Amino acid sequence: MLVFISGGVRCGKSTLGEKLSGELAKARKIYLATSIASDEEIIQRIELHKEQRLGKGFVTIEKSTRAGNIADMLVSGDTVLLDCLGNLLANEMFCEESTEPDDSIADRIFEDIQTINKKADNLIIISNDVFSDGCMYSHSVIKYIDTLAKLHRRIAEISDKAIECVSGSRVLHKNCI
Amino acid sequence: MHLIIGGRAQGKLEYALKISKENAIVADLNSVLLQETADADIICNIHLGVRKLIEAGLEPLEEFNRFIEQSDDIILIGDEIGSGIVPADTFERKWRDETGRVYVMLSKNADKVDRIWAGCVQNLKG
Repeated sequence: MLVFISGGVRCGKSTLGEKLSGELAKARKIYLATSIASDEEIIQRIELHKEQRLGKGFVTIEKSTRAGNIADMLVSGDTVLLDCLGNLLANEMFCEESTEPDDSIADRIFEDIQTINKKADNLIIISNDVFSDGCMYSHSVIKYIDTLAKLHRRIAEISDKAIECVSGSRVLHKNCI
Repeated sequence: MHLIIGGRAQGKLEYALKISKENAIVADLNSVLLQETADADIICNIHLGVRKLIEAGLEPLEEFNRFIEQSDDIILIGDEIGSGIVPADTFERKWRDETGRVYVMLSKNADKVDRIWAGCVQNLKG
């Protein structure tokens, strides 16, 4: 099953994703962590997320780019929680050595998601809604927002469930189960 | 009148084109004025239209009110722009305020209101 969850900052997306992982998992639960420990604030945030997952039975795999490469480590029966897509795209788009066009990065991430989804029993993808603030950002930020939006539309289209998280509650936009 | 709102790039225009007749005429308020959209079946970027009206010293709420009195079978599309930090800049603040007011008025007068999220349609009215 493919589940797509998005919503604003601190709306309870990760908690919801962890809960759904527990409900769906029949075997291993894998937490695909995407953050790069680049500064003190991120390190603290990563530690907080790790603490929250403690004792919940997750195996953590850290992969900040090229997420599809983890497919070799997966076996049938696995439930994968990807947290979060917005981070993964930023890592791919804004890493220093990247010269790849944004559309091809989006295509590759979409392929990576399909690769993981084929191998695992369940994939839960968490992302971030950054589309409703009306800010006139620089060209590169607008490109990031539009590329993320495109990925959201494509993933929601192939997902079995698409859930908007609002203050910890679920708005179920799509339910094919 | 059918109002379609949602965040930036969520698939609003794509949805409007899907439910419209073939060869529907789209007027983009980023490049034309509200007064120049008489032939249009779909009007998109309401929020940018509001911005241009403010810049022209006009009252967006009045202009849109007058507009919908004359147009019945039309689809209006706009980005939700009110979910960020309230800007310190007066103009930017006014833009969000006026856009919000216009959406509320349009919503009230619409036969149908849909919100698009990640390409999914959420019916809010009608």
